[in-house]
Amino acid sequence: MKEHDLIRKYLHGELSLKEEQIFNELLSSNPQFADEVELQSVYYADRSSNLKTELQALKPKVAETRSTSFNKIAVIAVLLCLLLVLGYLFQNQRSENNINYANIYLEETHPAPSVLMSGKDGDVLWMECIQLYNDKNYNQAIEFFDKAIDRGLHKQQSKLYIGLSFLYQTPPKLKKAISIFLELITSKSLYSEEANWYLALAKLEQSKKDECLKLLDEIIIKKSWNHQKAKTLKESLLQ
Amino acid sequence: MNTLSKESKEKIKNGNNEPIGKLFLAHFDFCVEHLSKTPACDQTLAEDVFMDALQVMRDKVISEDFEHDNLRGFLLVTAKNKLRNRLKRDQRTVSLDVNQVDTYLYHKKIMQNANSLLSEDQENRVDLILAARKQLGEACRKLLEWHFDKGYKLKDMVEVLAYTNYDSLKSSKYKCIKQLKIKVDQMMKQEFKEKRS
Repeated sequence: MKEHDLIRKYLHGELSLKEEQIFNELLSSNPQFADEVELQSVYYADRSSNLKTELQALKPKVAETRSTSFNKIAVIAVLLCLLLVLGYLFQNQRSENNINYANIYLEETHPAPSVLMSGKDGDVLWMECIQLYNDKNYNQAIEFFDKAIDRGLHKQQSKLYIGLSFLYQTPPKLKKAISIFLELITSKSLYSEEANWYLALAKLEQSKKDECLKLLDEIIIKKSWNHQKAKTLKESLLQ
Repeated sequence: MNTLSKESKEKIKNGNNEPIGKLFLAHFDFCVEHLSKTPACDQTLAEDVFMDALQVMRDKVISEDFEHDNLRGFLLVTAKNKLRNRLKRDQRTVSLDVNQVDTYLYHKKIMQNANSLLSEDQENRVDLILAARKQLGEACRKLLEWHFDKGYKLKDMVEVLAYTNYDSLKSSKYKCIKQLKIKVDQMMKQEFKEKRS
């Protein structure tokens, strides 16, 4: 097979075992081939990521097309339930109200990190972290994400998930969660926007409505992550 | 929606991604749900490899190498191949793994906070290659674009690019690759100098 075809097959993920062997041999024995593979990989990844960015923009439409009539009925039912829940909450004491509002948002757990494998040593540990988090085994998840940090694996992301695990535990360990979210925010971590939102929810869980509102305002003004939800929550709290 | 019409292929070849968008919408639910059932594949990864499959299809259409009666079948098989590659544990010998570069660039473009599996140096190298290719002369830029992006084979490009024969085009290709690598190295050195000063 010609080198050009081998490279195309590699880019398209279509190499057979035998072809992969030839491909790897060429990589190590032929620097010209290795150079071309490196450049073609970047060219390919660039056009692929451009297409994905375009397709990503279509995703909300996907959600619309998914809305079959059954889904619509389900949505109406959920909305009715939500209204009932909100009505019930309104009848209750103020502080309880706040906690329950937070719970509405905390029921939907933050999605686990993507499983992107590199073939590196930490992959197994990272998979275990994700598995424990997905299984809602938060005690152990905290332990494993801690190990990940010790091994320098996705440090910031691990911290966020430790904070979330404290928050989702029953009963939640709010002080610990808050301290981690604050750490992520003050260190201007990549995950500070997520940390801000969950910090607001944790404060609400602590019945610190004013502090929560302040954080929500910040999220809304900066139009940061979950700013629409922050707006809805703020309106509910001010009713 | 399970085959690709001639008209759609023409549109794709002319750089119009509208037919791909339609396919994305038509097959998204089924394919992503199906792929999500694979162990170690969450929703995000399933969506990612489904889009990978559409990109492979686009590449093949552009290089006139796409003939499939069962489009959904093709997308699923290709997505699964891509998934298998992403989950592979053994270390590849390539300097920049195509899937990792893809993930890095994609997350960078949609401004999503995700950990790249590339090292900082590798990320820098990717950025420099993309910047350096814009600085190539017209002839080299076109040659590499046609060969890499459009997937045209050298023998088919000899006449169109007005080369005297296949060997001279082949030698030009390697010269262009070398030129691009030299530019990248120069830019790296320059960056290193600026960082030190």
